[in-house]
Formats: sequence, structure tokens, C-alpha cells
Amino acid sequence: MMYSLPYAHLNLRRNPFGEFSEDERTALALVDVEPIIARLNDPRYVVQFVGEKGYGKTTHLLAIRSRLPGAGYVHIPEGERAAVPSGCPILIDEAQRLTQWQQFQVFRSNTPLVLGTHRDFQRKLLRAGRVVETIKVERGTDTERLHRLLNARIEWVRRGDGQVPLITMATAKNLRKEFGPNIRGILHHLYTAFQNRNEIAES
Amino acid sequence: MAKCDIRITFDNPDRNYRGGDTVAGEVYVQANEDVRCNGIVLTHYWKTHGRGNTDRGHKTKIQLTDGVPLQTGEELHFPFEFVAQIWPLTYHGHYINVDHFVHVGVDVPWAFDPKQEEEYILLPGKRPSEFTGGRGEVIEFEKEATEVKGIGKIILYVFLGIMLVILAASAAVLIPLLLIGGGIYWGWKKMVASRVGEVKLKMPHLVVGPGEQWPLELSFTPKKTFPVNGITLKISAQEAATSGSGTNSTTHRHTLYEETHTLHPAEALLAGKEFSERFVIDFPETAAWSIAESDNKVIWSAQIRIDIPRFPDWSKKAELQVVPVEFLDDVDLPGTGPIQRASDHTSVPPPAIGPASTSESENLRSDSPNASASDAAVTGENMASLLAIVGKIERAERFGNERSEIVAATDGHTYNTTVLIDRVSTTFGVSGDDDTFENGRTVIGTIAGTGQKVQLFAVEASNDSLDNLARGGSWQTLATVQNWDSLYDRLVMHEVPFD
Repeated sequence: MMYSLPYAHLNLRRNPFGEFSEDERTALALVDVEPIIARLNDPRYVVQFVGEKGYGKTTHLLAIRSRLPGAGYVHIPEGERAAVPSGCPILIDEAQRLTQWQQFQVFRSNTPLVLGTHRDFQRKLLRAGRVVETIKVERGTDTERLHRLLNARIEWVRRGDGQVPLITMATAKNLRKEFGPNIRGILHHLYTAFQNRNEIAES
Repeated sequence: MAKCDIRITFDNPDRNYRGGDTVAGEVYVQANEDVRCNGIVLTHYWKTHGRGNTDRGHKTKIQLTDGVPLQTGEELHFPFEFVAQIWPLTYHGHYINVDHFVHVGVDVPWAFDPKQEEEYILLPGKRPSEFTGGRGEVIEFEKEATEVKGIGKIILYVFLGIMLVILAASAAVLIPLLLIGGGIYWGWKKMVASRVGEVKLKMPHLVVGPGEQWPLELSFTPKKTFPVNGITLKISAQEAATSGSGTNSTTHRHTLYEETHTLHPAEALLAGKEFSERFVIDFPETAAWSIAESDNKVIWSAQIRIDIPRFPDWSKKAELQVVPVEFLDDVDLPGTGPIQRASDHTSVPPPAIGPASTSESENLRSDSPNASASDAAVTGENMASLLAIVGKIERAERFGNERSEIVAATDGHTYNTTVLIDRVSTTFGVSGDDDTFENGRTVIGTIAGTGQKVQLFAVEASNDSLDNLARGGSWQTLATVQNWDSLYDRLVMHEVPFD
């Protein structure tokens, strides 16, 4: 029995639409967080990324964390409680799982916050005297960004020089139309498509 | 441009290595600018990739060099070698892939470290120590323990304590629910038992090799006469890859293999008439080894079902562990059909005593691919006695110790034996302390001139002659009878070393 190297027929090292590690997702995050980073100098500032799962909330938080070594980050798992970390700013993923007491303490603290949440906390935050920016993540997933994001994944797993499969703008447009801003759904669809792919060709 | 380029080459261009082999190669590091490096480290490990979260094994580090200044254009090269792991083997599936990697990193202070990673293919080789020849239970591979320390340990204890308190508090509600659930289950089991009685199912091989003949025994005595739509066996394999965690976690499943065998057709089973059958299934050829990592699993199972119309079915499911045949001592070959009933086996013809060889030495340890069964019969002065033994075995009671006793009586005898070859495979281990047959070949076939199946362990010195033989060829050597394999009804023999 002889094996060949995985995905060598596509000049890739693995399926580009499989599960990536947190570090890889951070490295590949195509989100413009520079204006937000500038505003995080204000201790009253809060930015909340609101959206359904799979739309890119965590990607935004990871991109901000990678640029701010002093930041504290926590992802609150389902059904569990997690301590709010120290750091500046504080990044809280799945912030809708904060307890009432944690919300009271954190929202009234004097530390800039970055929240990833399914629930919009704007009114609570305003009452706590915060300056609030709400970003609906699905609005950031336009066709052009999607096109860049998908091809960046392919480039990330490139095996060697030469051609690799590419996602065309037309395909990105169709995917956007079919799946909307659900990037996770798009990745799953493309994973299967690449599993069944036998040769390098534009998609 | 990176501060330096790294290239990793392997001594084996197709990068195919067997477990326990030496993986060797060279690492080339070319500096694109002057750089002070604090060391170059090679790491080898396995990890999964695909649709699920990454599971990975222990990383073994090899320091290629300590701190060294690199000048623009300078190229360093470092040979490396290490012993390949034995398990897990390379696997490329649908949602799950397992690959082995060689990773080289150049430690550059205050900068991103240049790095390069290359895969190599790990094929079945040495048998993992966890496999001792037992096939009756799924073998767990030793995993690196995840030690919970400090604050994590305290949180874990507090969490467990809270859960216990919650459980105790809700016992008043939980216990009645459990009792109702248990009662329903008990009633359902009783209903089924009222038809089929006590069902005895034997799956002696939960550890299975691809392509082997997989035995199964089913017996029960119906308490009532009832019809069945059939008795079936479903063998299936499924990948389960979990991505994300918590509410974000999703388990992706993909069926790799599924086949339902009909063991018994639709008919009425009579009250008090025992149903007792042995079956032998041709297990599929596959390279989808069982995997049981935390987020990536390949699960094989066998499910027997007695399908009773308009009544609860009796069924039982067992998890199988599929491993390479190289890890098993006693793999048999596929038969001609998908299922054989032990009772359907054609009887072995009485041993035909072939013509004696004119020159015993001419025939010893020879291979003759075109020889027919009749002219390649067992020869030499021991021929008659070996054939007599085979004859006694055939006449002996199938179940019981009689056959083993006949074999035990051959102790100290050497037989000039010709085997009609069905299959030759590499021997990686023979049970016991004897390493005479390590790295030799295992020959599966029949004793020429008879229908008697045999498994013969050959010494390494016979490898050249055996490797040139195809199925149907014959091979002659001197061998001793070691034991009787009652599961496969075959003789187990050891070749006598040349000297």
C-alpha cells in the first residue's frame, strides 16, 4: 500500500476549508480593526460585535487581541461561568453569558471593553456611562471580502510554487447569495467541494 | 522575504516509512540576510487535520544546532534521523486526516521565527506494545495524561461538588424518572426475550484486520414460534469530527463503509428448535484504521439484528477495532463468498498420498509457482506421518481438545512440507519469547495434496524465495507443527532454520 502526500494533487497541504487553529484564524483574519484599536485608548469606550454564530465575531476579537499584547481575553463556554480577566482592554467572547453581577462590575469599570455577543448590550452600557459602538458583523461580509478570505485560506495551505485552485469572484458572489453572511456554512460547503476535487482549476 | 529559507528532504523520496523505521534526511537552511540565530530545532509529531479540531501527539525535539550567526547567502545543512512512531498510522479520509510531520524552526531573537513543516507517510510496521495478540477486547492506546494543576484543579473540584449538590437536591425528581425509564427498558427486554429466549452472541474478534475472515457465532432457542424478516449483520465505519466547542461545537459525520449481510433469510422460527450457527464474514479491505482521539474518531461497529415483524427487534451492537493485519498474529484470508456458514463448509477430501520424491534435498525449500497440488504433495520420509496427522485432525471432534492433543503429540518431529500459497505477509512478531521468525514471512495456505489449511512462520532467510511467490504457487520446506488454531481450523507450523 502506497500513500501520497495529502492534497498534493491540488498543490496544497490540506483542505483549506477545514478547521483552523486559533492562531491560524488570527493570522488569516481579514478584518479592519485599526480604527477600533485607536479608540480603545478611551477607558469609557466599548465596542460590541453582534451577530449569529459563524458570522465572524470571534475572528474580530482574535484580530484585536493579536494587536494588543496587554489585552485580557476570555471565551465563556456554554453553561459555564468564567472569571473576567485582567488586562487593558478586556475582550469577552460570548459576553451574553456574563452573570448579572459580572455585567454590573465590568460595564461600570474604568477599562475599555471589546465584546462578542449574540445580545445587544447598548442600553445597559449607555446607562453605565459608556461610549458604545455596535458593529453588526454580518454587514462586514461583502463579496469582495469573502473572495479575499477564501483565497487567503487556499494560499495559507499552499504546498509549493506553481498553480493552486482559486475561488473566482463569481463563485464568491454565488456563495454570498446562497449562504448570506454565514461564513461557517460557506466553509463547510467548500470543504466538501475540495474533498471531491481531482485537479487544479478555478472554482 | 523571510530571513532564511528552510528545506527539508527525506532519504526516501516517496516519504513512505513503516512504524519503527529510521526516518532520515537533511535540513537545508539558507540565510537571506545576516541574522543571529539562537538555535535550530527539529520537531517530529503527528496531528490531525480536516473538519474537526486538531488532535496532536507528543512533540519530540532534536536540537540541530545551538546559537550560530548566519550570513547572507550562507547555507547550512544538517542531517537528521529518528525512529518513526508506530501509531497512529497515516490516514487520509473525508473529514479526518492523520499525518506525521517533521518541523524545523530557526529561533531568531525579537523576530518571527522562520519555520518549515513537511509530512511523511507512516505505514504499518512494528506492532505497538499494546497489542499482545488478544483479540477479544478493544485496545486503548496509552494517551498523554492531561494533568489539571493549581487553580484548574480547584475549579474542577468545586464544579464537581456543585454538580453533586445539584444531583442530590434533584433526586426527588430524578429517581422516579430513572425508575420509569428503567421499567420501560426492562419491559421491552422481557418482550423480546419472550420470543427469542436467551441469545448467545460470540464475536471472538473485536480487533479485526482488513480483508480477514471474521468469525461470529449466534445461538438461541425460540420460546415461541414466530416469523422473522431475517437475521442481519451490519458492518459500518463512520468518521466523527468535532469542530468548535460549547454551543459552537458541531460534530460532522461521514459514513465510510456500510454493508448489511443477511445471515438468515425470512422464515418462521419454531419454538424449542435451537438456532445455532457459526458464520465467517469477509471483512472489507480498508485503510480506515480505528481512531479514538478526542475530536476525531473513526468508529467501526458490527450490529446483529433479529428482525421480528410487528414486534420489537433483538439487536446488539459492538464496537470493532480495525488495525493493520501486521499487528495481528493469526489473520486468515477471505473466502470465496461474502459469508460462509461453518455448516456449509465442504468437507476436506481425504488426504491423498502423493508420489514420494526421488530426491528430498532437491525439493526442500524450493518454490515452484507452477506446481500443481498433485505433483507438489508432501514428500519425504515424514510425508505419511504428517498426512496421517491431518487425517486424524479431520476425523476428530471439531469442538473440544482432541485436535489440540493430536498436534501436541507431534512434538519433536520435523516434517517436509509443501504449502500451496494463498498469501505471504511480513511477520512482525510471534507470540512467545522466540524471535527466530521476527522479520521473516508468514505463509497462509493449504498443505499440498490436502484441503488442510496452514499458517507457517518462515525464517528471515527464506524471505527472498517467498517474496517471489504469488497466490497459487507452492513452497516447500522443513517445518514443525506448533499448535492447532481452532478458530480457523488450521495447523500452525514453524519453519526449521537452515542451520
